[in-house]
Amino acid sequence: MTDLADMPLRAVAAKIAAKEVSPVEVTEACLARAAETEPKLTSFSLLMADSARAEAKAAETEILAGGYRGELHGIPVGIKELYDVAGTPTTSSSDVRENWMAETDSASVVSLREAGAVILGKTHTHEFAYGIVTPRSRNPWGEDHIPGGSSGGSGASVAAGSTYMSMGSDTGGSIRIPAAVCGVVGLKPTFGRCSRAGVTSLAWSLDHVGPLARTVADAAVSLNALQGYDPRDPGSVDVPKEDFTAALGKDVKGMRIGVPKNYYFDRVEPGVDSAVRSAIARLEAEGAILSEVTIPYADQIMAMEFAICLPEASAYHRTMLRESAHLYEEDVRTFLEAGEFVPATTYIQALRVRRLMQAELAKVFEGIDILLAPAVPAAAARAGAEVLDWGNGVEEPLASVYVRLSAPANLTGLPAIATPCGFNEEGLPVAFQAIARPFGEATAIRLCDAWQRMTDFHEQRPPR
Amino acid sequence: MTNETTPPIGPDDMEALAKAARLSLAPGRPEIVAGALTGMLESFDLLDAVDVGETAPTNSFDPRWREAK
Repeated sequence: MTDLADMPLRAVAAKIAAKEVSPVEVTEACLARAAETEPKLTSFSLLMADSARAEAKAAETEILAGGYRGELHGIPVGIKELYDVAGTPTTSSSDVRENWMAETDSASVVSLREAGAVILGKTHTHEFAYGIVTPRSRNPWGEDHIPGGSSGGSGASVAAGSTYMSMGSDTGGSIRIPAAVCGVVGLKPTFGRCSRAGVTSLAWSLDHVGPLARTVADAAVSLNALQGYDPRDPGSVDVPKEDFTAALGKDVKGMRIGVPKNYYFDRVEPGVDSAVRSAIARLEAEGAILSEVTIPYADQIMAMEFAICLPEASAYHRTMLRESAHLYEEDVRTFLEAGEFVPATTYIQALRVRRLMQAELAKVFEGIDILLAPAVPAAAARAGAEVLDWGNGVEEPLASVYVRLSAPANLTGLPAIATPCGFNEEGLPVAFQAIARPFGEATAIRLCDAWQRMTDFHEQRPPR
Repeated sequence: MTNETTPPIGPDDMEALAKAARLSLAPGRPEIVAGALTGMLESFDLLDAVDVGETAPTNSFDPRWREAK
């Protein structure tokens, strides 16, 4: 019999709804998995076993009394260390905020609690979400490999089976990168779809919050709970709520997929290139209509991402950097100190080019429904590596490697889903990302769910 | 736009910039930050290659395309 911890969220939810299993059993299964895997992975910054057991018992009681709330009821989830969870420290995995206590829940945690989810613990982030390594955690698919970042603990916990869904945040790919390299699904919603209230910021105009889960369907269920306008978040957009599960179970016939002929395939590992192109061919065989598209302002994408992120992050950390610089990790400290000196005119130039890129990409989407591309150029790097050697003397810093294919959806705010689509020669997961129009999450969910129903990559489990 | 590229920033330049920003850099930090900043500013030169005309910045980001046009 399949271990409960290895089942996807919706399958377990069906068992809970049918009263075949109790949230208490499910929570114990996740805690047992965490006890087994955490010594090697350290995906959690704080495991909340006692409160999780109490929440699971309360859910069990409520469900037995006929008060089933929906598919998240009784489901153990992880919360990225950047999110406020009342009564726990929001350390952002940093010594700078070792004692930063949250008095109230972040908006996402409020929504998840209302849906009946069990908060199993807090998951590690790269310090203040400012990096793609998450050095305190490791990858379940290879313990000497990084789990990606910045939501590395969330990716690792979902892949390991300790949680059914964990929350991430994405400023330059920090949901999609760990999802891709940990072999799970990462859904970055449209900018403004989900409230960031109560989540430590990296860069206000690029930050998104969203779920990492085992399947696209699980992510859709999660997004149903997480969406909604919140005036406390200045980036929140007042759009109607949707039922994203309505996009599940459909095929891809007639869907117009744009395949980038520049940028996204320019420098990717052969294993990633072949897996993503095979996926595109399979989708075409299933009835999708392909067309080649050109990514506008490709030469400026990374310059825009960093010229915006650096000064926004340094502005957020302005006081802390002056008071506690010595407590930051070296890489983050250097980013924050250097970001102090990006000229304001450079920042504004980036915001102007950003507007031009947004308008040009809108034209590209007039002829397509989905932009399909590699989620990241490479599978998980080895822990401790600082660059990726592309051969012929070309070395690329890891931050550049993993951010460059993610950044376009951050700059444009478009929804994007990283979805497993194969394994490289080392047996490490690789993924594509499906990018849709603003508030077109349902379109991306439809395609990625259809993909998962025709493949079994998401059903593969990491070695234990 | 200008075709000029960003000149390297040295530790002495960094000290002056830090003073203006009222940021105290610890011993050894000016060299590290100068190197990082030089690389960043060089990469930002690509932004100056774009003729932005009268385009306003997206200073309050809105993902909806109707706002972008």
